[in-house]
Amino acid sequence: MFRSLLKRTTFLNQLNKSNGFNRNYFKQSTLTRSDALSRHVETEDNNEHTPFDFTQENLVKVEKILAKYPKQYRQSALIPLLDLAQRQNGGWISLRAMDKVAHICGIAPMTAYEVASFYTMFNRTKIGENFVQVCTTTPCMLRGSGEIIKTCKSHLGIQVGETTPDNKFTLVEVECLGACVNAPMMCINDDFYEDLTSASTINLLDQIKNNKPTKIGPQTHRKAAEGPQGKTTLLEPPVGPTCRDDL
Amino acid sequence: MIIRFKINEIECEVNEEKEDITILQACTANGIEIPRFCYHEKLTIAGNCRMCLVYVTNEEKLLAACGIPLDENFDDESIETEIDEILKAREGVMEFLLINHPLDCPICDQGGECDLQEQTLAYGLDTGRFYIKKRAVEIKTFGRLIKGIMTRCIHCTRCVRFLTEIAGVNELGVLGRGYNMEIGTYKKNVMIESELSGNIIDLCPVGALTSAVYAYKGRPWELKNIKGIDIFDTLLTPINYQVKGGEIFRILPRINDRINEEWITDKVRFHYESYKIIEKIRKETPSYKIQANKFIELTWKTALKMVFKVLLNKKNKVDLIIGSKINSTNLRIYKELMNRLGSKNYITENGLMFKKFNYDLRENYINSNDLYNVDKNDLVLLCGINLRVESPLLNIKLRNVNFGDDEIESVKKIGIIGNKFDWKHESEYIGATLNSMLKLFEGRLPYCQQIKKSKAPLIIVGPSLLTRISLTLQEMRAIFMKACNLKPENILIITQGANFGMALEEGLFKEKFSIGGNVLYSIDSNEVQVTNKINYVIYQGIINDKFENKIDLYLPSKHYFEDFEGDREVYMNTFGQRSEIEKLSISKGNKIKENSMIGYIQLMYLNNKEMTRKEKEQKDIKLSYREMKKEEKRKIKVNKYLTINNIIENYYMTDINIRLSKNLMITGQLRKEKKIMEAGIWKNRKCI
Ligand code: SF4
Ligand code: FES
Ligand code: FES
Repeated sequence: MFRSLLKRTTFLNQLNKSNGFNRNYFKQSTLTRSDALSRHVETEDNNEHTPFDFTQENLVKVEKILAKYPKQYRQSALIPLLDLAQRQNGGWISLRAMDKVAHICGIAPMTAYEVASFYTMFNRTKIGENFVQVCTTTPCMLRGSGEIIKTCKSHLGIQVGETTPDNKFTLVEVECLGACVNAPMMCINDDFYEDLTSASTINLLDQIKNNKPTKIGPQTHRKAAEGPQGKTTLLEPPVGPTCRDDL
Repeated sequence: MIIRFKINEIECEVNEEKEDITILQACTANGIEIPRFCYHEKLTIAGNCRMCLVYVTNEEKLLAACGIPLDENFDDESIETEIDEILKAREGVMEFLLINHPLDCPICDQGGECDLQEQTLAYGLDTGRFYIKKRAVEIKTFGRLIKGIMTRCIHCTRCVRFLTEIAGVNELGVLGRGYNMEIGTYKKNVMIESELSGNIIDLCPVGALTSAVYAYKGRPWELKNIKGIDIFDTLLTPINYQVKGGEIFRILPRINDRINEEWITDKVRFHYESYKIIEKIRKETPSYKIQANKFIELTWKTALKMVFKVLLNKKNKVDLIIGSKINSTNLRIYKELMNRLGSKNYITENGLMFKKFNYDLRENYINSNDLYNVDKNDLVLLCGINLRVESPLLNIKLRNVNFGDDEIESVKKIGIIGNKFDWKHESEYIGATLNSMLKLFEGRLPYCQQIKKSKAPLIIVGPSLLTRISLTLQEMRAIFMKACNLKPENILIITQGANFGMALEEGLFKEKFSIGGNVLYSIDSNEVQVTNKINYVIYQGIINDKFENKIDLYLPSKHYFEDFEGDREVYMNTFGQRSEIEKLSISKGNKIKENSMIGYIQLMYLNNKEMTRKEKEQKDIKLSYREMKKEEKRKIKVNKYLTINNIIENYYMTDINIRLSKNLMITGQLRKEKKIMEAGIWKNRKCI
């Protein structure tokens, strides 16, 4: 009888598989993205007691950022301040850092948590020194980002969402970063590396690992986003104004 | 401009200048129901569930009715809520909501009163088309009172809006986005520190937030509603007891816009747990102490005989203390009893706090304000009251006071004398000692100028101030009125105890009362200090935890909601508003008698006659303040440096019923220790 039951269940399993679904399968929120979990994870280096304070020079910057907004709307400075805190903290933002920013903005800490967890560019868990973000959205995918991600995984010896044991690299997949013309691309910390191939990716990662200077931008001979014939339009120098001077 | 439009062929018109309403409100006013999840009358509009879509002619897309005001664009348009396009849209919204909603209705406590269930039935698709992975979210703990099964959450954000806007605590938030969006506290095991947190259980349209105390106990269709009141608060919030078979299963608010809107405090919402415990541990027969901790059971006949032996003994001096829950019928009976015995030593336990009181005029103990327009005030001064703890419902009303545009400027519209506590707006902290109070009386503080300037100030005087100053209420009022140019409506006096006003109505008060006799007759009163001078204590009530070992004669009586002659009894709150309560019986023992019954028997014994019931004429007496002004001249004698501390130390410890409710107690303790809850607290609760 037991055997027949076993048979039956395997049969059901096969049926489910052949239909392409499994009715009773529940899934936890995905863990692999840079947005990680929507809650605080208590770790040794990120808990209620991890101290955080802005450095002296960053405090000057804080003042500058706050000065951009009217006094009664100083919560508008929340995102720039979170960014500043993240930079100071080595690419990720700790619980206490969010509390600190919320305090400066005069809002409840909860609001800072909400904002930081909404935007995927804030990392709320500790990351490695170099944050490798490989774009896998359609244009990059068509130009071979799958290969790039595979290379990164095998070369660094980690999976997506993990950090290398020497704390040098954290690897994540991201959505379009806006450099599709030079796909495939990846972004390491603040710099874009475009027109990648497996070989140039390995080369880049090695250079970064050994603290050697890297070539930012396209890794081929292409200049900026020019086509194969070189520059054909916009030949005259740009007319101003180019950028807001307070940025 | 008058806007004329049609809703489903019904002609409607709205005066734009006078009314500021949305499409949804207009539809509801015309009897057309629009399904909704995120919209709630008392909260701000979020517009994130899209269930309320309606069709408006000349609009390209369907509109979310809850968030769109009716303005001149709607003139001559027609709004459709039942056409096929709308039905289709609703089906779509429902389908999306149900993608990730678990199918655990049979074990869900919200079953039967779940908006999602009902609306799926009415507007949903009859079959599901999603056989893909369902998302699951971990169970969250928000304290001992609220259970959070967040997989069921549909992200309407009502709970978040209630806590931030109304309760004023920012402990819940919307975290993450898209597929990963969760409602939560971000940090683990954070307790929601609000006296009103239980209301998010009612607000949650699905079973994501449910009561931990009511978990797996009952189904809404088996429960019967019985009207009651919140006995722990002077506002006497109307509530509903939900009962089944002589047991209270849960307590829900009754809506009253003049008092509580839709909210009730956690205290009353969860205190019913104690009745069950009381039922188990109380004595059910009259008993007499022969030695310490040794009681013998008596029959009622002998017990009453013993009472009379004590009461009629000329050598004894009897003090009668009446608890704060006793209704006015009983107050009358026991006052009569004491009068017949030729004694005037009677008082309610809250009356004990006050040295002097003039209860000739109703104005002296009942506030003439109306809570309905309390938010029209433009300045609030709190004297010796921690509103958050002492009257949470009044607190949330005042938190929404509209302070106009200068809220942003540094004019501080809230002054606090007494203990500091958190408020939404920045407040000016004037001082903690009586000295600052006196300065205010004399008009020496700069704050007085502000009070004079403001159009509708509100001064709230709390019991802790009243008990520390040898002024009667009316004197206090008169002084305030003189010092700051106020009218009586501008002063709000908050006392304690549910029946304080009613006791004064019956004239049950004695000036400068102190327990001096050798016999104490306590009717359901726990909060009395029993000194060594007292050598005989009669306790007639339910259960006592303060002077249990001193009781000599114990007479079991019923709870306040079981104890009246007819089906209903009326209680009066500090604003003179009356709330009706209905009879509810939960006591099992048949030897437990009503207080009124015991009182009548005693009276009959006294002169074998039916008691003639004198009702004090309940007319509104409006008298000038001339008499009071005479008294005003007396000097105020106080210790200037006394601080005005709060009377209530721990919100969760004020009453025997609350002290016996396990979950409330633990909440109180946890909050006191400011301890983050330990993980795994659910495991010992056998809930999940
Ligand atoms: S927990 Fe309930 S009230 Fe809160 S967002 Fe979810 S469904 Fe709405
Ligand atoms: S798709 Fe990769 S950068 Fe746009
Ligand atoms: S009720 Fe209108 S969007 Fe939710």
